[in-house]
Amino acid sequence: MIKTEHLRYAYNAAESEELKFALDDIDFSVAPGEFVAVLGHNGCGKSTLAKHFNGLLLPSGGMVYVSGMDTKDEAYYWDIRKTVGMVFQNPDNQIVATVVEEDVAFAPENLGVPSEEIRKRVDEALKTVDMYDLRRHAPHLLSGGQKQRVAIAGVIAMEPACIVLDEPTAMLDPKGRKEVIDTILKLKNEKKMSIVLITHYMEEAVKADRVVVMHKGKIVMNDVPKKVFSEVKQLKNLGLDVPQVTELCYLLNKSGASLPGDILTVEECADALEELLR
Amino acid sequence: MSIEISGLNYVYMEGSPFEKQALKNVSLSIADGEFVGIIGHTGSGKSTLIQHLNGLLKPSSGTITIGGEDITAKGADMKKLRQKVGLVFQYPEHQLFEETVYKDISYGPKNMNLPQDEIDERVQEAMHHVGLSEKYMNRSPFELSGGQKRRVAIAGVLAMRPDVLILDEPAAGLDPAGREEILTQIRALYLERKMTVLFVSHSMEDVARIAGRIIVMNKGAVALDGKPADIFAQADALRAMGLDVPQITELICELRRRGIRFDNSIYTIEKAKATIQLMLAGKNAGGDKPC
Repeated sequence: MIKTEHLRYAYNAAESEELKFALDDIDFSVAPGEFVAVLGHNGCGKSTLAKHFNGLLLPSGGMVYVSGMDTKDEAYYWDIRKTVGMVFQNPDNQIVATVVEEDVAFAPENLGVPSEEIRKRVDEALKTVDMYDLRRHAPHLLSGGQKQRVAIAGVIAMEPACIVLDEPTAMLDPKGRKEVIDTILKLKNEKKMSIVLITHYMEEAVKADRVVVMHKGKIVMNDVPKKVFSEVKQLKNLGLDVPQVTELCYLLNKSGASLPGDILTVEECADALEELLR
Repeated sequence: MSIEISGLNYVYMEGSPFEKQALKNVSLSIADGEFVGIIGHTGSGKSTLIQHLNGLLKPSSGTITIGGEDITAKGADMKKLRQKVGLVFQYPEHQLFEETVYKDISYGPKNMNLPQDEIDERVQEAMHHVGLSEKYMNRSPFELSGGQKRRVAIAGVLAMRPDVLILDEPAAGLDPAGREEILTQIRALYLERKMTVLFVSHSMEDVARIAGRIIVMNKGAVALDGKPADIFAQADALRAMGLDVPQITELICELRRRGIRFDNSIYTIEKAKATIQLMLAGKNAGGDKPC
């Protein structure tokens, strides 16, 4: 679906002429239908990486392929953006129309899709994100979680094979966060879309098929969530959190208990502790 | 500086079809030097409440007394009030406007007509409190990172040396390391300056770590008010109000459901660990009933 080979991205640092690498030799891939979470603290390069996935940024070195298309080749410019849709952090910056359904129709209209087809796609997209009932509402009166789901519907209406979300829940409250994450899981399970989710929230990353951890422009961990989160010490050193129950088991094990090292959920932790304490 | 709120009601767009009662008969008493966390989901009235405390909103009915002065009375001195009660909004970095960090932070003290050397002293002190190195003083705030911008904005409020500091979601949108840093600095500032601090958040985990008292708002009213341990013991009530409880609280609830005896006021990893170790030691020592 998406593949990068030795991807590098350089920029000029503010005070010097010295070249800095925001991305340094990145080999990354997303398979069709796969859900990948990208973690890392501010400034680690995760947003810069995301912007390479649909050609918003072009590599200074190495290659990025989207469904086999080289993002540097201008001939593929439109096809690439039709294949990979993006959702950003602030819902208010992504909504252009004054009515929900018109906003969702914006992309297919610009792609020259026939109008009956647009109607069909918009209705379907709004049903997928569970916003169909509010289709005639004004977007600025919606909650943050609702606005973000409208933004996602706008991307789905383009029918991309892959959706890249750059911290879509960072500005939302717990309820809005849950709405958005449930929507993302639905896209994966029902629409079989590839998903790249950039996030700070460990409890969101736990739900992915694979977790990639970035640090200083490099990929430092890349595995299934259970493996990545069992490295409590390394994650802490990178300035990242682990789920509280994972940390609890880690600390208990450090002082002599023998609990499984790959516990991620409250349920798993309760099972292990119940056995230990009975 | 103490805060007394009694019978506070606030109605948005009164008399219009969009009329909405955002605060319903809120009465609270906050002592001088208290550190209070205010939580509640979006729309619970927490922001409406804090906007009353420095006079940005006027109550529909009820009174608010801060440091013995009735701020809801006719002719109350709002300018003086706003120098005593510092309010840091959500995403305060959106309010930066000056050319340099120094100018932005000194804007408040300058408008208080303070002498130049005192302004300088306050800017330095404020930057120190938020952990910003003095080398940033003459930089443009707009070329700083998001976390640094937020510190500049908070420093701008601290430079007024308020007696009451109110922060609306100061850690929103920061990464875990950034959150940790801001929370630690707020805590240190509180201990050093002995201010009254009100900390608004929807993260129970953050509030639990630093506040001595938690007020839970729901549907415009105070739903719960007490020490963190007492509030977390009511996990089901919190969930019913749409709040996230920490994973540790959920874990303790789950183990209790399975018949293992646990104190339901445990809400931190450290306390859970210590308790479990005690239980294990008791078990190994000869099958005494764990408690």
